[in-house]
Amino acid sequence: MTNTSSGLDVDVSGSGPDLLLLHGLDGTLFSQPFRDGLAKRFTVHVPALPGWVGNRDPRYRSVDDLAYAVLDSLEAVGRPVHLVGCSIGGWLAAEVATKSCANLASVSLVSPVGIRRAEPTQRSYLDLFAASPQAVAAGMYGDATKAPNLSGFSPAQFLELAQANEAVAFYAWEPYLHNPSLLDRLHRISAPTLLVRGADDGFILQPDHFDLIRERLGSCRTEVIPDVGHRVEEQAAQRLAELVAEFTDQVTTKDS
Amino acid sequence: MFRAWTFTEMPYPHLPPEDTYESLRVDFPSAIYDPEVGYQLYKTYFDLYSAADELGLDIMLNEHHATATCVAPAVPLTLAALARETKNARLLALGNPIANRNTPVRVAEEMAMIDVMSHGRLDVGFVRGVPYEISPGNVQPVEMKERFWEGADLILKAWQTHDGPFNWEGRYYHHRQVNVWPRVYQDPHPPVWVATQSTGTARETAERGFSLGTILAGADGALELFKAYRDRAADDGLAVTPRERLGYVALVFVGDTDEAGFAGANKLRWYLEHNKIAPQFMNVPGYIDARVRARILQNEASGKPLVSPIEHLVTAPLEKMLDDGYVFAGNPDTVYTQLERFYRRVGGFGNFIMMVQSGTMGYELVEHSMSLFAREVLPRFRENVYDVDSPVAAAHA
Repeated sequence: MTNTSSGLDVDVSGSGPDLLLLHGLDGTLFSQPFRDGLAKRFTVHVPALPGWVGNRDPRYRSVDDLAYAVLDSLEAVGRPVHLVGCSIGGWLAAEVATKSCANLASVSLVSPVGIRRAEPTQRSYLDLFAASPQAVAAGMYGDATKAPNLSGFSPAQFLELAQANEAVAFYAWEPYLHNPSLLDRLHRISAPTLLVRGADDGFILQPDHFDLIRERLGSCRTEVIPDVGHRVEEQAAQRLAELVAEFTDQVTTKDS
Repeated sequence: MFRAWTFTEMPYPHLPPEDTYESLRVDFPSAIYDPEVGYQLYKTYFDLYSAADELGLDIMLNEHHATATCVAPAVPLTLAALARETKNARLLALGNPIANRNTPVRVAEEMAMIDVMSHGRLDVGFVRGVPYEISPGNVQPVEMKERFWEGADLILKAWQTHDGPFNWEGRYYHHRQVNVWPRVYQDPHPPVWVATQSTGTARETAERGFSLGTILAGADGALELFKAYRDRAADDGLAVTPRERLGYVALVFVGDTDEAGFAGANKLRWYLEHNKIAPQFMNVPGYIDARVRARILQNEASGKPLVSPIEHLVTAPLEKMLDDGYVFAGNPDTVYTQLERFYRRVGGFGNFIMMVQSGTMGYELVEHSMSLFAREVLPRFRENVYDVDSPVAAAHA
């Protein structure tokens, strides 16, 4: 299904309340179990973000630009939507929600990147473009041996991975994986918010990263998932889907 | 005129064993660099270039970053020193990595000043840069080529505008008051070169009328690139591509005997042998087309690691490298013969760019080789081959 105002292709599955999922660094390559888990409880909308599947569009040159496309997609649903974003998708979700929560029933930020408050020599995020593949795998999964084995990947899947890597370089090269203004806008998120992190996340390096976000959000529910790294949606797909469902139930009950 | 250019990457050759480090590029610690040794090395390298000038040879310079293999991180600085230290040599920067610098107007200013200081002896090359310059330059690897051409367009306009500031608000560069002083010495601007290994870029280079330089492509690779260039130039109505627009970089050592020449060539191979690069610095998203990179990722997943693009040359026997046109070495007659053969195989070219120094090769060794080339190879080649060869014949070879 194509949303005509934003031009984004949106994949829709499942049934139930509307939920829009903004994927992580590798697009939708590794997150099918999480989407399936969500689809048991929600109508899941997954927009194909420009660049991740070779669909780079000259209208979208920044995560800020992408946020407007997502706002269009949310409006197109026509009902309040639960917004979920993972990693770079969490950054995008935060950008969207700081602009407008008008169409949002809730926001779930899973291992969100996008913010930075640190000394110049301190890295906020592992350098994906300079760290060894082993170090990246260890950072992402908490332990390099937990990273998915790609030997069974098809050529099309490798192409999708290469395109996803390129999209991340395009949107997040500099400032690296963050918008310097975002932290000071987070207070604008008025929708109920869930903040989730993996206990062994070695990709987000800033020690007070989650504290900073929580502090700026004011009130939010926070959850730490044990034994997983940055890729919570891959490593704890069912647990995360249940957590999101439980959280959205809670906020919906409160509203009604 | 057929030009012979001399070139050294200005290496710092005193390296620890290769198994003690992961990469000679990007993350190689400068703790191993002794500035006192570095001072002596710069003296040797600049003295060699001065000797080249006195021998009637021309000079090529480049830059690389965060590596011991080429301790020349700013080509305008080496050019500036040589603009003063030399008298006759043309000075070719091959080149300015303009997609890595993101300051095209500054590049235009630097080159303009050197053009005037050198009394119009400057040739200005633009290079996209190798993937392991992405992290040292901290530059966006996506759309680099588009940025490269916009930077080149801006520099060319900056050199040719003499009636006060113009405005440039392009896709990548915004500069509202572009007004370069000094005006370039050469009119309308210094010769422009582009270095590439890609036939697509060779065509774009021809389209703009710039000169093409290529390094270690071998005779077959050089022929393919030169052909792409010539074909594109022919599309623009040029019956003959001027030979002086084509250049080729190879390893060159001339000795008194073949044995001495081959021994020198083996010392030059230090350049090929010291090129350990961690895969993440070669396999940069956006720098490489996603379809090509997908195959690299697939190879990596099946246990075939990415190797340096010149890995095949590291283990190749010298004899094969001589045959294929990667290395030119031997006594003056031998090198003359190799050069003539290469010239004919690639359909003619006008610029032979010689890497004359590498590793620990010192002044006397290299000066002797350059001297033999300048005295016993170059004049004969110009007289017997280049000057009598019909450019038309060369173009259709």
